[in-house]
Amino acid sequence: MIYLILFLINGLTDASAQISSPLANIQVAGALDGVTPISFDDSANNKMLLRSADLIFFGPIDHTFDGQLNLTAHLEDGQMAFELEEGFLSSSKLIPRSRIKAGKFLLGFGRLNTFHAHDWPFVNAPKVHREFLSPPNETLKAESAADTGLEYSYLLPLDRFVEVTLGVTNGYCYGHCDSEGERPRHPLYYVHPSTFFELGQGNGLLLGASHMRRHDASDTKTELSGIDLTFKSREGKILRWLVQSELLFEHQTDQDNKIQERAGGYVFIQKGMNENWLAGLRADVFSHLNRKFESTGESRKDLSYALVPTLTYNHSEFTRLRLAYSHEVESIAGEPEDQTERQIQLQFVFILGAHPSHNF
Amino acid sequence: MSRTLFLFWLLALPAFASNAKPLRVITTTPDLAEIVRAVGGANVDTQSLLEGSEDIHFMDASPSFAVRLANSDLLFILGMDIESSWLPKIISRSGNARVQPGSAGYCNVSVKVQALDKPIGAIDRSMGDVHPQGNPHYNLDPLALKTVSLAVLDCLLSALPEKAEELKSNQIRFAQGMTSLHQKILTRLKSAFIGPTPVSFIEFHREFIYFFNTYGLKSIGAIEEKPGVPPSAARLAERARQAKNEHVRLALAAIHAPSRHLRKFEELSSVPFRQVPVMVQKNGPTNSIEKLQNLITDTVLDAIKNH
Repeated sequence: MIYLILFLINGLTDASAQISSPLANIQVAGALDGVTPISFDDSANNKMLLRSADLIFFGPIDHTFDGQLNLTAHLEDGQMAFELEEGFLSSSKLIPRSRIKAGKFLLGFGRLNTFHAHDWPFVNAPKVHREFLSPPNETLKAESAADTGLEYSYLLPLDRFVEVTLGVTNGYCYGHCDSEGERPRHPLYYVHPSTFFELGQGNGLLLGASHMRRHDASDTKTELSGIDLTFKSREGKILRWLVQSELLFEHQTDQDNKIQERAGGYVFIQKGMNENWLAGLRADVFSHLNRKFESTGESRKDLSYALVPTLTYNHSEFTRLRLAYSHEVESIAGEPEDQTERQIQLQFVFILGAHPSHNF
Repeated sequence: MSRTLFLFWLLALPAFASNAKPLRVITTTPDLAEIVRAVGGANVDTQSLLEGSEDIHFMDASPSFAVRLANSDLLFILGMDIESSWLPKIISRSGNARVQPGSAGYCNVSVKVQALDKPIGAIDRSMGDVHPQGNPHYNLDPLALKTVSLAVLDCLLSALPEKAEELKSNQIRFAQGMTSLHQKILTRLKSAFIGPTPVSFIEFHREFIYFFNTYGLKSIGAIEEKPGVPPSAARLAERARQAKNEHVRLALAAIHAPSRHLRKFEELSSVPFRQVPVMVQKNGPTNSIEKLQNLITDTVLDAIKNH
C-alpha cells in the first residue's frame, strides 16, 4: 500500500513539473479527522486520537471513465493502518441520464452512509447508524459501510428530480471489516430512490427511501428499510438551516428462524449563525421491537436515546473545529438501572488540496 | 410503393421536426444566458441555473440543476474555476455525455478572456481562495463580454454550422452593443471624475476589479484579509486607515457579502458602503447586462456626488 501511495505522489510531483504527463489531471485531496472524547462515566479512553486520515486521488481515466482511490488510515490496535476504503471507476457518459460505479465504494444507502465520517455534520454516528451500517458498534469509530460491487443511478426523464440508485455488492463482509469475510448465500443488494423539492432560492428538500437485503454465510437474512430527509436553506455563504433525519427498520431472521426486529432514527437540526459558527442539536432513538425475557418469553421493552448538542466553527472551507456533548441513555426492562454515557467530544477536520465539493 | 414512401416520410418526420427545434442551452449565470440568447437568437432555448443573487462560489450542487442539465444540448460556464465546487457534481449527476468536460457541448467561455489578478508562482491555500487562472469576475466588463461572445459563437457554430451567417451577424451586433454600452458608461463616469481631488474605491471581495479596470477607476483592493477570507479586526482597522489616506469614496460589495464587516469598516473609515448585484438577475431591476452596468455606475456616481 505504501508503495502505491509513493508511486502516486511521485507521479503527481512529476506531473506538476511536466504538464503533459497523464497524471497531471489527477486531483489529490487529504482529510485529517481527529477527536478528543472526554467521558464523564468511563475515563479509560479520554485521550486525543486521530480518527482517520484520508488520502483521495481522483480524475478522468480516459474519455469515458473517471477513477477514484481513497486510502484511509484508521486506528487499529493503537496503530494507524492504511486501507483502501474506496477504489472505483465511474462513468456518467455511458448511458444517458445514468451514473455507474464499479469497485469498492460507500454504499449509496440512505443519507449519512453516502459521506465519509469527516464530512458528517456531527462528530459521532447516531446509534441507529452504528448498529445497522457500521458494526462493530463503537461510538467514535463508526464509519460509512463500503463494499465491492456495482452501483447504478438513473435520473428519471421527468421535470422534477427523481433518481433511483441500485447497488449489488459481494456482501462477504459487512460494516468495518479487517478480514475478507465469508462467502454469503447471495450478494448484498440495495435500492435508494430519491426526489428533490426546490423551495425557493437557496432552499431545498431531498427525500429518499432505502431498502437493503443481505443473506450472509451464517444463513442470517437481514432486510433494512428506511427513509431519509435533508433540508437546507442557504443565504449566500451561510448555511442558515440544515435539517437531516433518517429512520431505519431492520428485520432479521437467523438460521433457526428466530426473528429480530429493531428500529431507530435521528433528527439533526442546525442553525448557521454566520459563515463561521453553526449550532445544532441531534436527537437519536433506537429500540428492539420484539425483545423478550428469555425465562418467561414475555415482551421486554427497551429504549436507547441520545441528545447531542453540537457547536461547529468553520475557520475556512478547509478547517473545521467541532465541540459536542453526547448524552446517551439505554433503558432495558428488567435491568436495575439505566445505562448512561456522557461524553464531551472535540473534533478537528483539516482538508488538504483540492476544493471540497458542495454536495446538497 | 406508395405505402413504402408513406412509411419513409413517417419515419423521417421526427428527424425533420427535431432539426427545427431550438438547441436546449444551460448557462451557469444569467449574464451568460443573455449573451447566448443574443448570439443564438431563435435557434436556442436558454436557461440559467443561477438566479443572479447567489454567491456563485458557495452554491450547493442542487439536484434540480442536474435535471435541467440532463436535457440540455450545450452548457456554457464562466470558468476560471468559479463554479468548481458545485458544477462537476451536477454534470456527473445529470448523466448527460453531451455536456461533460471534453465534450463539444461543454463550453468554457473564459478561454479568450484576458484575466486580471492572475497569480504568479506557486499557489497554495495559505493565499486564500485563489483562482489559478485569474480573477473570474470578468462579467462586469462589457469589453470582456465582447470577447466572451466570440467563445459563445464558436460553440454555437460547432452545434449549428448551417446557421453560421445568422450567428455571426448576431455576435457582431452583440459586440457592437457592448462597445456602445462601454462608451456610454465611460462618458458618464469621466464627466464625474473631473475635479481636483483624486477618487478611489475599495471592494469587499475583488468582484469589481474588471469594472474598475475597464473604466480606468482606481481601486485600492479588497477589504477581505485574503480572497474568500473575512477580515479580522486588525485588517479592518488597517484598511480603514488606508481608505482615509487614499481618499476612498465608496466601498463596493456584492449583495451577499457579510454586512457586519462592511458596517464596521464604514464606522472606522467614514467611507460609506453599498451592496449591489454582481451578476445579471433573472428577475428584478438588473435583469440585463446594461441595467446592471447602469446600476453600478449610478451607485459610484452617487457616492462621488454625496461624499
